[in-house]
Amino acid sequence: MRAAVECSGLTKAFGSTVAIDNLSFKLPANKITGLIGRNGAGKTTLLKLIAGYLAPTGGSVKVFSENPFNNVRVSANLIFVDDKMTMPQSLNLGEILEAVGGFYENWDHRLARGLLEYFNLNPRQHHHNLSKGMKSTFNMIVGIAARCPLTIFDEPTVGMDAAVRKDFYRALLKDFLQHPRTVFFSSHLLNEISEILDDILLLDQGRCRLYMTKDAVKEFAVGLQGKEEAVAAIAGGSEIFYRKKLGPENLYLVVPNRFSEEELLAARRKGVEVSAVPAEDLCVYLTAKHKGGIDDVFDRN
Amino acid sequence: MLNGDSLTPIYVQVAEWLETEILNGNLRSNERVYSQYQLADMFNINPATAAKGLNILADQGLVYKKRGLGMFVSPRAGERIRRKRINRNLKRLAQELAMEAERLGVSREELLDLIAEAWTQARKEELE
Amino acid sequence: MMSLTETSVPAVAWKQYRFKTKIYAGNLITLLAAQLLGLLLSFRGVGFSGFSSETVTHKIMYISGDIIVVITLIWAFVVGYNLAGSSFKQDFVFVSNRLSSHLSNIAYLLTSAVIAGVTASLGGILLRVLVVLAYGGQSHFGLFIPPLDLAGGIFAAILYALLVSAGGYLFGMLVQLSRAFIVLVPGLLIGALYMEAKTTGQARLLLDAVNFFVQESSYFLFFVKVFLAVVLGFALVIFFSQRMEVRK
Repeated sequence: MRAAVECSGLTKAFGSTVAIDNLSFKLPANKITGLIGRNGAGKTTLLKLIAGYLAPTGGSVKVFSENPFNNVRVSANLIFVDDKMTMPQSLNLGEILEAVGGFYENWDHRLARGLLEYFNLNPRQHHHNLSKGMKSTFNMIVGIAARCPLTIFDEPTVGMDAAVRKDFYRALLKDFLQHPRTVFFSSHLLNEISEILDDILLLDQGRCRLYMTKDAVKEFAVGLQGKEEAVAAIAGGSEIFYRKKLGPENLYLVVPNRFSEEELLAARRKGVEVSAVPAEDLCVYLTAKHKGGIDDVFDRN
Repeated sequence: MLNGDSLTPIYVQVAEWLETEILNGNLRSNERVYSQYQLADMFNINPATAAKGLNILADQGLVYKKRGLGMFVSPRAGERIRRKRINRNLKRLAQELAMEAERLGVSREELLDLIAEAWTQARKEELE
Repeated sequence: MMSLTETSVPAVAWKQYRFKTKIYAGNLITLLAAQLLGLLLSFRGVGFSGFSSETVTHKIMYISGDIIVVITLIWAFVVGYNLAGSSFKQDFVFVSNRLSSHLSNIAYLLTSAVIAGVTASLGGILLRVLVVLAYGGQSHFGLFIPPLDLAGGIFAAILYALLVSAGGYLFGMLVQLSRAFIVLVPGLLIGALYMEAKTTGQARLLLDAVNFFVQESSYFLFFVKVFLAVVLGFALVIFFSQRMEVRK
């Protein structure tokens, strides 16, 4: 399938800080991909490179086979939604939708007005008077209604309450089903968005730590919990993503899921509980600097 | 509905839900099955995940494809699902039951009594 | 697959221009308010002279539309400067590249200059009428202005406004490149004047620069001078901003 975004050896440094480090990947067209990573992993920098806001220090980024920096053809086909979108102060929300719609060929004005009404935003209000969550909601509406072939959301849910977030994910999915497009979505709340994603790209210190389908991520690891010796015996010599002592004798390990049905059944017989590892937790474990997480700091003393 | 935290992947859950629909007679032989987009909309999941669920059924021959029209329930799919579930689910549940009984020190007779009791209970509820 | 939108820089610049005339409509209200203020200030006159004897009092009042023009030019500078500051951030939220952003800004500044030039000139005429109505007396120039003179005056006013707003835009863009230019540009200007005054005893640099435009007696040459200066200014801006990144 044709790639919507293609990065090869992409590098971006700010002074001596390397935000994106020799990153190569292809984003397939018409899929919803989640961009996951901790604060400072380089998510926003990557998205801004793709949007053509920033120029790479090294390597290349291609959007629809073209360099996005200073490129009006790429710009016409993508929208970058975050909580810092500058909206004209002189216009009210209804007028902004009217004015912005002119920029996008696929703009659906009825959808935009419908969503505005659904989320209780008064079209006569001004953007700078909105609360943080309402601003995010409005920006999200613009992002969906623009129907750009590449739609980028950078932490779009800042300040939204849980109900609005849920409606937003559903609105995005419903519009995506009718008008498939490439969506690149960065978020801290992987568990919330996980169901609507095709793929997950996990970024760690400017590098790609994991890039696979969401279903594969969910089956990537298992949690083993039980008596220390039993758990260790089953884990064997495999890589350990996370370990946590539970009381004096019990141990919880997260290891790669390479077990057959029979092995898992055998583990259960030995009193080892086998559980799924939510994608969000796994991403945290994979990008942690310490295998034991925050507990390490306290256990050392 | 679907459970995102379960060890069972979502697409397997979708396949199981469809199987149950067939088993209950909500979807009859040669009737059209939901499309991946309908399923995605119903369960608020990605259409690729829904397609994977449908493909599980297709791979087992429980549904068949008509080019351009979608997926349809194969004849006798319900009966085959029933037999498959006996083999797979019931056996697995029985295994877990036996394991839990062992952990709790429940004897074979006690366990069988419990099962018999649950059986009559289920029968009664069905009659009501 | 959603089909890709084909577009071009002129097409996008045109959309941006229309967008800007909408979102910066408030500038026009500021202009009219400022010109009205200028009109009121002018009405009091810019100077008096006269003599009186026991029987006659003679009073000459100097009234001119200069204040209106000066206020209009200040407005043009501010509009150019603000546009440089806000438009770059605003444009890239939606569809834009650097060239389309500048082109739409140039078109917007040109429109503003036309409106400013026309209203300033008409404001001057209004002032004459009001003075004659209010004070009676005799206007030195008379009330009638030959249409060609009026057109020439408007044309010149438009060019002044364009020149000044382009200057504001250039300055604003330099500030966008680096905050240091806020101090650097006036600093260099004053420094140069100071050095010149120290070495030659005169400070003619700025005056010469202004006279280069002001003392031109041919409309055509004046137009050519302003045109070249503005083109040079915008070319500099476009060149320097090619690699400029968008920060929010």
